[in-house]
Amino acid sequence: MKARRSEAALHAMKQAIQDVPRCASKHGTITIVDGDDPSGWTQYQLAPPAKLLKVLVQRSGCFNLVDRGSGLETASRERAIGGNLGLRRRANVGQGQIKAADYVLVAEVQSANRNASGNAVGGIVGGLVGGLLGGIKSRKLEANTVLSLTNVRTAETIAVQDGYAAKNDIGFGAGARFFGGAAGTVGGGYENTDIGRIVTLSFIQAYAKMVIELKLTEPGTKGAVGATGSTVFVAQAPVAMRTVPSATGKVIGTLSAGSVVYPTRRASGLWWEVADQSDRIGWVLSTKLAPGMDNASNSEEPFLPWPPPRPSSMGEVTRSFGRGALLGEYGAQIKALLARKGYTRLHYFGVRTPNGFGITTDIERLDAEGKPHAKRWTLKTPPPGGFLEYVDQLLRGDTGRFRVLLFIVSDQDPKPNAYLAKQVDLERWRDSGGVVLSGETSRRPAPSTLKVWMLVYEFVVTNSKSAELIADNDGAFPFSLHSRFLGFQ
Amino acid sequence: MNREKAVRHLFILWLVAACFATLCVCLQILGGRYGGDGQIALNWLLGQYTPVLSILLAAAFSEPSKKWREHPVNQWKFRWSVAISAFQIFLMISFIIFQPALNALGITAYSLFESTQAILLVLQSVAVAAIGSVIFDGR
Repeated sequence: MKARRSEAALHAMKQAIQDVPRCASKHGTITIVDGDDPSGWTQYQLAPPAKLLKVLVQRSGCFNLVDRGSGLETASRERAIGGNLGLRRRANVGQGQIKAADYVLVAEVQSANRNASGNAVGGIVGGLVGGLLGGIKSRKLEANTVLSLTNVRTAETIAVQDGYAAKNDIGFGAGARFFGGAAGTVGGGYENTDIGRIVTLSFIQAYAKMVIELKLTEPGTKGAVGATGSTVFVAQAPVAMRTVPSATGKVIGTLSAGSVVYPTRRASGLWWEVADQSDRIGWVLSTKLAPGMDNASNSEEPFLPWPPPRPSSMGEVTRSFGRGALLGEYGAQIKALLARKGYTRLHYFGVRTPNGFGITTDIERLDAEGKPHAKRWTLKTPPPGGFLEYVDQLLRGDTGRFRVLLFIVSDQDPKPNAYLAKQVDLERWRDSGGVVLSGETSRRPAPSTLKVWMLVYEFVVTNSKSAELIADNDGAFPFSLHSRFLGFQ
Repeated sequence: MNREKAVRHLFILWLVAACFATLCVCLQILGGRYGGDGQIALNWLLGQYTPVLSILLAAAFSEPSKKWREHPVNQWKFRWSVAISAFQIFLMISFIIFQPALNALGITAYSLFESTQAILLVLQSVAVAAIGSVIFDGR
């Protein structure tokens, strides 16, 4: 059983290296030194922790490592050879090449309490029983570590964080996720002893807290995973979505690898609040997420068909928006307006004109009066509410009405063609549009002749097969109804 | 049970089921469930019961010998015919009645018709063979 526990802990160790917070960009150079008091790690036959920290820092990608230990000694020897004995011509080792460290990270093990309870029965009694007792005793194993980060130029200690881990953190519980598999490459007792694993976990915790304190991994901040300005992220592995930012929170659902999520910009440590594609909102571990397709936010959006297909109704709404100097300002205004009306997911497109872009909303269900349906974003037939409703649906089918709004910002009149939009067009827009306006389009100057149009595509499902566009002369709601809903003048 | 009675029972079973299913689909078509594509639903339904009902109809209107009519039916063949008929009728009517529930799962009536066509055709072939074995046994 003990062997299985160790195996599980080691497995957790290897798995949890993925959970070390990661930065999208480096924040300078760093050197790692061991703390003043070596007794913290020597009493348990552990190697100095600098080597372990190097692996963590390298894993996180937040800093460039510079070697001031044996690596520097070796480098100095090489340089001495260059200075005293002379290197062959064109050897690229010379003066003024060593990079200075911007930061110093000091790693200390404060205490590594192997016998907090004073119970060492497991070590005395041999065999299976001893193993079991040893297992019970080892639950008391705990370690406190401290990391302090000092700015070399100012000599200011900019962050001090402590980490704590205990035996139960490397058991089968959820806490095991923090364990660093990289310790396998560290050696020095960090990999193959319980106390070594606990110290490793404690360091990972302290390092994670430090990176978070320095705001290196918060969504939307410089250097963070969200530093790309991404509004969409993709799950890199199956990840649980929870009601609270804690591993013990109730699971709302599990996001499969590749699932797209939208951070709400609320964060708590490594936990981010996100909305998934089914509009469920919950907390997930940010270490399992990577920037989504808008990571390439400077790339061009896909193009809308130009001229666009014939809508149910359309109108110019330029006066409802403030004049902007850049196209991006129009995009931001439209986005803000739509967000107020509950449209959280927009799809951005380029248009085949030099100055312009398009934004479409998601397919939205309307009620009989043209207002958003109670189950606005549920496109499938709402579940029947009773026997009579069921019979009604059985006989008459789903007769829902749906709407998609298309905003076109352009200095050219869109002049829709005679082609009637089809359900598949809306689905294509929904699936292919960019999630943000590209940087290139956003930065483009807005000409004074720029106008904003709103095109409304209303669909009705008259049978169970497919939705059909309602033409303006065939029962579509008037344009004024839609513009009133959005608060246009 | 003699052969004449057995065939009559099967005929009544299929006739009632066919009438009920047809009534349901006709009401759906009249109600507008299938829009202008009611033909698709009707084609699917007729394909389910027409071959079986035809063979039973032929048996009902034929005039077999008195000896054949009064001969006890092969119980195994009769039970097998009833079982396979009941199963096919159950599926056929279920696919009509539970459409709204399946719709909630994202399965439209048309995709249901398309995806069930093959399996129901196989079942129908088995049902026709089973009923045929009752009808033509000893003739």
